[in-house]
Amino acid sequence: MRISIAGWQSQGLRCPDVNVDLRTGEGTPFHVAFLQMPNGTGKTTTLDLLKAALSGEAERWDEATVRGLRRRGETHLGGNFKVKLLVDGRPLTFEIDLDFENGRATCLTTRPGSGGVHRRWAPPPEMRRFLDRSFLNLFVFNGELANELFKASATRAEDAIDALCQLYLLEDVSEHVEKAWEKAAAGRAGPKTENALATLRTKRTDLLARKVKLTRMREKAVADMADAKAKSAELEEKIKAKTAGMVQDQSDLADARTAEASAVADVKSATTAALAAIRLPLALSPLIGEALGTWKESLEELKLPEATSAQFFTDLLKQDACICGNPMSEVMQEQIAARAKLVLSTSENGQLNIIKGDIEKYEPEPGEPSYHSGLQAKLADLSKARREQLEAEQNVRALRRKIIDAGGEQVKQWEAEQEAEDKRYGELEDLIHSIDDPGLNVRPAEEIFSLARIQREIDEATDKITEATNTVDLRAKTATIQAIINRAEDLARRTIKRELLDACNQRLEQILVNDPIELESIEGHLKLAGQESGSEAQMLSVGYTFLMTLLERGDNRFPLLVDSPVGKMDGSVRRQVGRLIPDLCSQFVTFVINTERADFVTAVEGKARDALHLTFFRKTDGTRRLMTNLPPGRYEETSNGVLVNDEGYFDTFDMEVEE
Amino acid sequence: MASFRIREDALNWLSDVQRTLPGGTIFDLYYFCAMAGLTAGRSEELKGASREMVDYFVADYKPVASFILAMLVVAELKKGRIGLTEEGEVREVFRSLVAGGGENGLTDEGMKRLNAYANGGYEYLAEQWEQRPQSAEEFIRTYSALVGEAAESGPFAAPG
Repeated sequence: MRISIAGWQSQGLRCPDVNVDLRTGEGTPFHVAFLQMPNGTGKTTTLDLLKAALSGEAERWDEATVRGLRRRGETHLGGNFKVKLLVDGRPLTFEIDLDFENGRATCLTTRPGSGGVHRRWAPPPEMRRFLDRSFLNLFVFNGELANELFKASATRAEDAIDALCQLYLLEDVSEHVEKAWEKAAAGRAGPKTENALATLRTKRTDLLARKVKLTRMREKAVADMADAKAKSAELEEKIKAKTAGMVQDQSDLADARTAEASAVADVKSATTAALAAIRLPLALSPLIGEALGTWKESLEELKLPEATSAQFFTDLLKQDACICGNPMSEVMQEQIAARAKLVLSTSENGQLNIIKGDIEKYEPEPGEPSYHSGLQAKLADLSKARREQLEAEQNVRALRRKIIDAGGEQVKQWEAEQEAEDKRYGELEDLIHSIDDPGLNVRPAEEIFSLARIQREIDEATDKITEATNTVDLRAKTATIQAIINRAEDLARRTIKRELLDACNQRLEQILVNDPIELESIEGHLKLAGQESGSEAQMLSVGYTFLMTLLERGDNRFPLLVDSPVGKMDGSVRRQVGRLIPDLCSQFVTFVINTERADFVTAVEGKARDALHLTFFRKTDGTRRLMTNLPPGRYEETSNGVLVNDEGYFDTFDMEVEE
Repeated sequence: MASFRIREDALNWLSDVQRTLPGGTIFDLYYFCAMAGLTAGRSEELKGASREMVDYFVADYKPVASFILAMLVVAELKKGRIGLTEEGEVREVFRSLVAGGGENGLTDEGMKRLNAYANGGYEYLAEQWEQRPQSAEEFIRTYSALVGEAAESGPFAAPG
């Protein structure tokens, strides 16, 4: 990609209005363009505006920055700055529109080949990385940069490599994965370390083992219960056989057992009746019926269900006119749509009617017993039946005691054995109950028998492990990505530096054939081989060579726009640097003042394919004298500035500072 | 359409009740829990293992479905501290819980809330019982007394 600056235009800003065209008659940019501007004419402002337009950073300017670009003392509402590029020969324009009244800057981009004007900073995607501010600083700068590349305390040379090769993108990726990990970990409760994860895994394994143990314990308890029951029944048969001669007592016991069975049936019947009653919520408490009655009455007050349903409003919305006869306006439609959302639908109204109807239907007539008292009567019947059942059971036990006492030692022995079996049965039953219990109220140190509780704890541990595993795994993955990134960055930086050193030294060998010098390393700054420092000319030559070699990596060509390229150098240095620069770049644009012309301009001209000589000054009382000898037809005048395109005028212009 | 759901824990806890309940169904157990939750004003969103039941009121409860819906609405109004005469809010709560038509008359949100009351009701009952209930007759008698007491201080308590 070859990027050239075709020119720029400024209007209504702190620097004088001007239209700078850097192109030849054929439309291609001059190889070299000198723009002579006395100090105070706006060189720094122009440089800043060029960078802001190219990088799009103007979109982020605050009000003070925007208003600061209006000429002091003026009250006009807006200003504009436009920079025109040629990218592989195709035009691309970046513009900043300044609204001084509201303190806003708007960027515009014109790409004739793809969509015309965009009201934002919108460079072609392939160009974006070259317009990053850090990269722009490599080809639009003031003359100090070339010197700064050698400062041991600075890292400008390394920064330049970062900017060109975009090594900072690797750091961005590293930061991005770090943030992603932080975000993921922050949203997760529980452990985040390997040790904590190991503890959790042990806990879960123990819980699973406990679950297996309890499940087996329950299975065994069920089998043992059947065994105890069978043994108890067997002993009962033995007792029965041994005491068969006690005919009357056996007959009484049989009757008592029949009565007991009848009592059990009565309890069941009473339970059924109570269940039927309890299935009506109103029976559970009189308060329920009262509260529902109050709610029903409040619905009457609220006029619910509604006479008009949401459907009415929805249908009305489809009409051209309202029911009042007026044509349906937008405001009316909005109101009706809002109303439709507030009212109940037809089916909702229907459901509410059913509920209200049911509540009314179940309201007891005056004098009738309430459903609650009905349930209480059923519960009383149940209690009575249960009492009778207990009495029947007691009667059976007493008769049995009588038979056993009369049966002799053998029968007593069997009864003791039977009692032991029954006790065993009871204990096993309790154990099964404990295992089946939900385990909601287990004290901290208490042994857990509840399978449900164990399962809950297993689920909880599993969730935490899953979460922690993901988190720990994510941390490990993050570290791996970051290690790869660091290694890639390190390798890339070393390779790039080595290649750059080789390319620079090859170029320096040709350029400084009479004054050989070599670069040894790039460690933050540039370091010369075998010497701490070189002559000023050598240092500048190496600096520019380094920059242009760097910029040309990847077969891209960039312009070099430098403000004050030679500063206070003496003549020989100016000549050396001046001869060097045209060979280094495809376009060189430079801001100079009249005192920088000597030696430098001539040296540059000598090596340039073609050169443009522009002189620009502000129209003031102090510069009025300059207006008298302007070369006819070779200048453009705006309300506050004059741009002269004439080599002779350029060579004789004698103003260093704006007067 | 959303279904009635009961916590597995609750089914375990009530297993002896179900076993001894004449003609009892799993829906009876759900009803016991839901009524306890509604009268005590206890609701807890289902989180652990739960069993999906039917999505309609079974025959024994169809005739009283309106009361269950109405109790849910009143309990939610109380929970949201909404007065019965706050027209817009009452309408909004009703619409969020009760659907016109459908098998059960509940919206998905309504079903979720009723299941939450059943869950909260189970926890309330389990807290009140020293040991899990051993028989239906014992459960019914104690349950009636507990729910009656809960109503004294829950959403259906007389204003005062």
